[in-house]
Amino acid sequence: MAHTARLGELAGGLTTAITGVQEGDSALRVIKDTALKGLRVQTHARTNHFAVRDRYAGLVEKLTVRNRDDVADALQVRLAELGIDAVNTGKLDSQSKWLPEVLSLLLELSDRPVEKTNLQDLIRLTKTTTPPPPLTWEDIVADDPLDEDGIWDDVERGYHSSGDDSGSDEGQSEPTTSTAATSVGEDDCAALAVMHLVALDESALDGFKAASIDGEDETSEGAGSPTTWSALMLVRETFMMLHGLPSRTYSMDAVSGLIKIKHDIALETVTRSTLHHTCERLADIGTRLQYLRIWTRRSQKAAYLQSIQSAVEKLLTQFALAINELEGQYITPLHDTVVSIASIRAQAETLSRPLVRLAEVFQHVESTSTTENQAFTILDGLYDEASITQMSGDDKVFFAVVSVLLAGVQTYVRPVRDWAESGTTPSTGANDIFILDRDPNCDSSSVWHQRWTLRTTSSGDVYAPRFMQPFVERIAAQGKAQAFLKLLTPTLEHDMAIYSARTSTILFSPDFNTFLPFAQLFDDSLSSWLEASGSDRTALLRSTLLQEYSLLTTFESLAYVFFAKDGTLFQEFANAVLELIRRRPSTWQDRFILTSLAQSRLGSAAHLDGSSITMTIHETDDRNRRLVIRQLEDLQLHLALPWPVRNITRSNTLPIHAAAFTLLLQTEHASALLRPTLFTLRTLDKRTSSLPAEHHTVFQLRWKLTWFVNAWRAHISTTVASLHTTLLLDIQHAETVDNMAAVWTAYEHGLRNALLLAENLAPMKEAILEILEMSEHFAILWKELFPALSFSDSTASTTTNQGDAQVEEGKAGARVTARLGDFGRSLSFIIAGLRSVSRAGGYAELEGLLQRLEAHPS
Amino acid sequence: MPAADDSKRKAARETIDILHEISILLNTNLDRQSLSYCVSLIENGVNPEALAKVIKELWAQNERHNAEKAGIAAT
Repeated sequence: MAHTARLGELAGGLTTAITGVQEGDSALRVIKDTALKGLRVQTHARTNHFAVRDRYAGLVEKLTVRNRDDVADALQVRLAELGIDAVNTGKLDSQSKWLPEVLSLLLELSDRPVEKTNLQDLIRLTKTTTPPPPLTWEDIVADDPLDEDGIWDDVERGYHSSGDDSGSDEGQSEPTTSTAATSVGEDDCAALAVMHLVALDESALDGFKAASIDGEDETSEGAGSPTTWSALMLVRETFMMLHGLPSRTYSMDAVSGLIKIKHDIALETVTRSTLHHTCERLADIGTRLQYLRIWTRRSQKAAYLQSIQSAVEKLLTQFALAINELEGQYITPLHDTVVSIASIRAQAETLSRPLVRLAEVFQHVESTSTTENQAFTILDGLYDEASITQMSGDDKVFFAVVSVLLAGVQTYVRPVRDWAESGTTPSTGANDIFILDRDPNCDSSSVWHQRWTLRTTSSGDVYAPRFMQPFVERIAAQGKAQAFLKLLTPTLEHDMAIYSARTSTILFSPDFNTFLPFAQLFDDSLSSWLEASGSDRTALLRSTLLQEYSLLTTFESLAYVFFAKDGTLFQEFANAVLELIRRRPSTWQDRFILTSLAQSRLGSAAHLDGSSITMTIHETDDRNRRLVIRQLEDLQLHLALPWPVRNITRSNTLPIHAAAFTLLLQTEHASALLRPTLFTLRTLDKRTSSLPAEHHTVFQLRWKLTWFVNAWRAHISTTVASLHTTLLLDIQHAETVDNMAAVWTAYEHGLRNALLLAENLAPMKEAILEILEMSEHFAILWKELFPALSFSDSTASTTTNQGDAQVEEGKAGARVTARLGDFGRSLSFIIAGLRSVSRAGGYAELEGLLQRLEAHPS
Repeated sequence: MPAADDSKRKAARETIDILHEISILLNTNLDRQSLSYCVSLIENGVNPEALAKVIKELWAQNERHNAEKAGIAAT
């Protein structure tokens, strides 16, 4: 009963909560009874806890899949708080045994949480909780009243606290070096540097100065009586002077370094003249040394001069150390020592001889060099001095000079090495070498010949020291090969960078005992260095051009394109062009159509890219009034060459080849005009004796023209074939790009001469073209003489249409005779011309033509 | 034992809070009081499916009642 009552009570409460019907409402009882009846239904199966767990796991997964990670995470957290890890472990350690049933109820009542759940509702719910009240002193005091003994007593501090300090001014304390060094954001570098400086104690020298001015007042320049000094004093002053320090005895000019004896001094044991002479000699040595010191302090832009300065400073340091040793003998004598200015002089001369000689070299160079040639005069001067000292047998001076020279040379050759090994010119003006990058942005087809040149002085000499002159050409060629190779193969630069790090110093061991002159030794060292650097990439460049860039294949294709090596292709092209001329006599010069014909016919040769062939038309006004032979001269065939090949041919176009092709085309046209008439002869009466005279003449003309055209074509074919074969052989044997360019130039020269394209051979070429024109006139005459037999071939009819202005009126026979005469005259002119050039020499290619023409039929 | 009762009550309160948050996440439209009644009913042996069915019927009845009231008010 109690359970039933409890159930009824709860059902009533639930009904009120859901429907809002309050107690006392009559409807509540009905609703409550209905609800209670429904609650008592026992037909439902018991809740499966594992099924509930799985359903929640599935719901979490569904929420995650549907991109409701926020809801899924919130749900998982709450389930975990209840002790249920539905997703990960499937744990069902719920805090209450009825929890699965409650969760099952919530699942039954859930209404599409994936779509409808709004997390903000949950956040609003959790935020509605009131925050805890702020903590007040009353609460603290209430929890922990402040009534402990001694709570208000002073605390005895066992440590230094900042509160004990009084009167300290933080602003005036200087930061220590360590704090300042580690302080972040310290911008005052000058202040930082000042802290590390040690101030000079000027007073340290006061005692020394006071001791050294004894007797200073007694001496004065220009005084009448000399001052008597002790030898030790004089020696001390001499050492000071040799060190370049101020002394009482010697005066020093700060600018020139000139040292003179300041006072007229005397020693008790030495005569005045001897002493004066000795001091003058010492002053002279000091002057040279001081000059060197001043020279080494000068600012030099060129790196090799800085290296020379450094080397000289090393020698000066060694000299100073030697002088210190001498001084040491007098400061702490280990044995009885005689103080002798003469001895000092002798030792100073010995020790300073290399430096004095160097000073003389520099002074001589300075006095003789002009603005233009002073760039390497020091190196040249040192080089000459080394040779001289070697020959004179002065090994000490020799080694000193060589060490200074080598220091400068090692630095000088660094940009030279960079050039030789990697083809890179130095970027700064002060380190310019003899290679000038004239035009970094020049066209790639003229890089080899125009970009890098030798830098020369105004007098025409190469901008390099004299000892480098024998190597200039070789280094320039090597560097140019490297630079060109870098352009051909950009990935090679990385390898070059690694390679160039290997060796960079010139190894020179001056063996004084050798009989070889210094110049020879030095040249050998330079040669060895150059070879050891392994920078000669000429062979690699050659193989790259020949293989990777298909230089040989490109040159081979010239024969197919320009010289009709494949007669079939050329014949097809020629026929197509002549057909075009026949069909469109006034508009056949269409660049695009002709290019298309050339690409489709000539471009179909093996190893040839047809798209590289183009044709251009030279625009003229009187095109339609000229014979076809002359109109064909307006055509120009072009073959696009790769830029490395153009560096060898030195031309973007190939005018000689284009002219040769035009000649072949003209010859083919003439031959085509003469060829069809052969077959029409068969229809004539075989009784030749009954033929009229003019028929004989026209046959004779045809025969001679045919012979000439064949001879001329044979000459072209054989000569260009021979020249082309020679070109291919010579190119393969050429070592350098310059050699290849020379081979090409010689080949073009031969071609120009063989085809009479040179200016001085133009009259002969004109005569040949006139003979070829006769073929067109012949075709007209043949039609007139044999109208019934005239083959209605394309070219003849074309010339008939176009050559009207050229055709003379009158009897055909007379014209034939006239043509025969013209032919004879032209032929004679050509033969005479060829004979004269043969006598002049240098035209070996024309001898074959001369022989052919001399064997002409009479 | 009042401390133990307090902690029990506190635990029960926290459990109801969590269940209420879960019911919000599941979009059950149950307020806290209703949820408390439901938990009590289940603890008293009511089958959750039967209870869910009863609650749905009560909602439907409520909607009908509200619709009738709205219809009467409109006329």
